[in-house]
Amino acid sequence: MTDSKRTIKISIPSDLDWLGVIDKTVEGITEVMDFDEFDRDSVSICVIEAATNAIQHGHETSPDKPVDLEFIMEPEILTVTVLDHGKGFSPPDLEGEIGPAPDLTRTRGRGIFLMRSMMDEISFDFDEGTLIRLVKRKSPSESEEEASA
Amino acid sequence: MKISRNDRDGIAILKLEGKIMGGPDADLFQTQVKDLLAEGQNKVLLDLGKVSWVNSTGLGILISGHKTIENSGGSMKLLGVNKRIDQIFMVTRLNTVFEAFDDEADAMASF
Repeated sequence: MTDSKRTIKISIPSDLDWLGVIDKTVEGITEVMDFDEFDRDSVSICVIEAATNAIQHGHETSPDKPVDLEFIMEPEILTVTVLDHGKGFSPPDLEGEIGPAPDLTRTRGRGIFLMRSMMDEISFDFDEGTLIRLVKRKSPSESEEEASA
Repeated sequence: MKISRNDRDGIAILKLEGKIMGGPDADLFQTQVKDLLAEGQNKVLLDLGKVSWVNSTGLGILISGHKTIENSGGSMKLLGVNKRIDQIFMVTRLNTVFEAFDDEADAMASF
């Protein structure tokens, strides 16, 4: 990939059936950026989680409101923002250690834990909707392999 | 998600295909589990070989099915978990809840 910053924007309808499009988009972008398979899967899992939140909680499954995604590609860093146009929700506490995995018998409430565990940074902004910002940095081995290629 | 069923040696093998991600998937799976238990079938092998991914809502569907079957005195085990789903199980520690197999014969013999 070149040194310049590139941005790709997509919008999907607020419908879980469209999550597959996000998966394919992330797959393509992380491949171009030379992330390894583990990190590619981590990013896909987390962007799908963020979009699931937007669809199920942000829009309460109203397909008339789009979910807007922006992928900002820099040589060593991928930043993904996922924006819904709903009424927002109570911001989770993102300070301090991630803590143990949620109770194993719980059937809900693992999305933010997954995103915090698998991404390098996660933050929320609330304005007209909720914006989730996810950051993944390439690991040193991925960067070295690319430099020697 | 699609579900097809094939019973063998007293075990219900449910083959799931597609993505497990909530919405109608939850009703589909819960109905299937209820039907099995109503028949007295509580040994269930979930074949996830054709499942591309699971989100956290999908995890809830699997946990719910697992709990329902275990509470009936039966067991639900997994077959063909791909790397991505395994990664989610490891992070959430659900690998300690779900017994998973790569080989169908080993899975069948474990019941």
